[in-house]
Amino acid sequence: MPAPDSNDHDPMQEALRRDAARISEPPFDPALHYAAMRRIRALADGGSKPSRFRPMPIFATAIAASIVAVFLATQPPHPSPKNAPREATHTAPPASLLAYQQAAAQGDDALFAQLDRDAQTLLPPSAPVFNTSLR
Amino acid sequence: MSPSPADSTDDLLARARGGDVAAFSRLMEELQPRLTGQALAFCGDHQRAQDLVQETMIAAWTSLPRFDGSCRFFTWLYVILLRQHRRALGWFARRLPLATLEQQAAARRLEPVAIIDPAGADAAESELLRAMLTALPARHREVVQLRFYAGASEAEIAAALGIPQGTVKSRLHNALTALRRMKEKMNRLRAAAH
Repeated sequence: MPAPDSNDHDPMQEALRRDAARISEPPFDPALHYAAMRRIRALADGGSKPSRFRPMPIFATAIAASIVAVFLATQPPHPSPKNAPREATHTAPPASLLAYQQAAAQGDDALFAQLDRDAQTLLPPSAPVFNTSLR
Repeated sequence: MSPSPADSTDDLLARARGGDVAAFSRLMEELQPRLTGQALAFCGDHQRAQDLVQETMIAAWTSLPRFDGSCRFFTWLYVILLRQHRRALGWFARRLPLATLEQQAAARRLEPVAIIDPAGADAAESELLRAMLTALPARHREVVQLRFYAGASEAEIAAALGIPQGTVKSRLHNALTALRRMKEKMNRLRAAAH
């Protein structure tokens, strides 16, 4: 791989150097300097000197996270769309195996009518109809 | 304000790292004009450049313990300036200046300035180069800026960015290749407009 330093006559490198040389330095701006230094002094007064490790933000974040966690843990579970159907299954009338056997004895139409009726309410997976095979 | 011999850059730096705000202030007094010139070149807006320099000074103060002297202090400051600028720029502004220039080139709006007025030609070249730099990926742009605008050596750039020198070389190579391609594209657009 060619090293950029080795080719000083590359037009692109020359153009970049020309552009860099065109950048002028404005005079020292006291207002800018003092504005920045005022903020830096405020930081320094707060923390005495520049520090690599600043524990305050970490502690603040940890405390805030703890408060949120405690708040969420103490909240009563409120109905959500996810919970709603499950509650409906508990209130649904249990399907009767006998009813299905009787419907099957009457014929397909009666059996499908029974299925359609029960399909109106969601049966729980533990409903007897799912555990016993129809004869 | 000219520093006394006792206040060499190294002394000031050592004192600043120990929490001496006055020493840091003296350091920044010396470097502020150069830093502002660079900020102005890449912002193009005086107020934004001033904001950028101010944020750079504050970030430099808070990060000062991380400066290990493996590169010049200005090079280290320049890296902070570039990263503050990148943050201020936002990702969406990356290709915009070049796209605008490409449209101008296609419409032959760049050509008359360069032909009539040599100073205008310089300005046009600067505008084009800086727009092309903006269109580079950030990691390529920063090595070009450090190498050519901050005048840092490859070893210094490697130290300032915390990357191997070979990576600096390859990023510079890729960046320069991309810049040449962009320049060729601009030339094609101009030629097609004739």
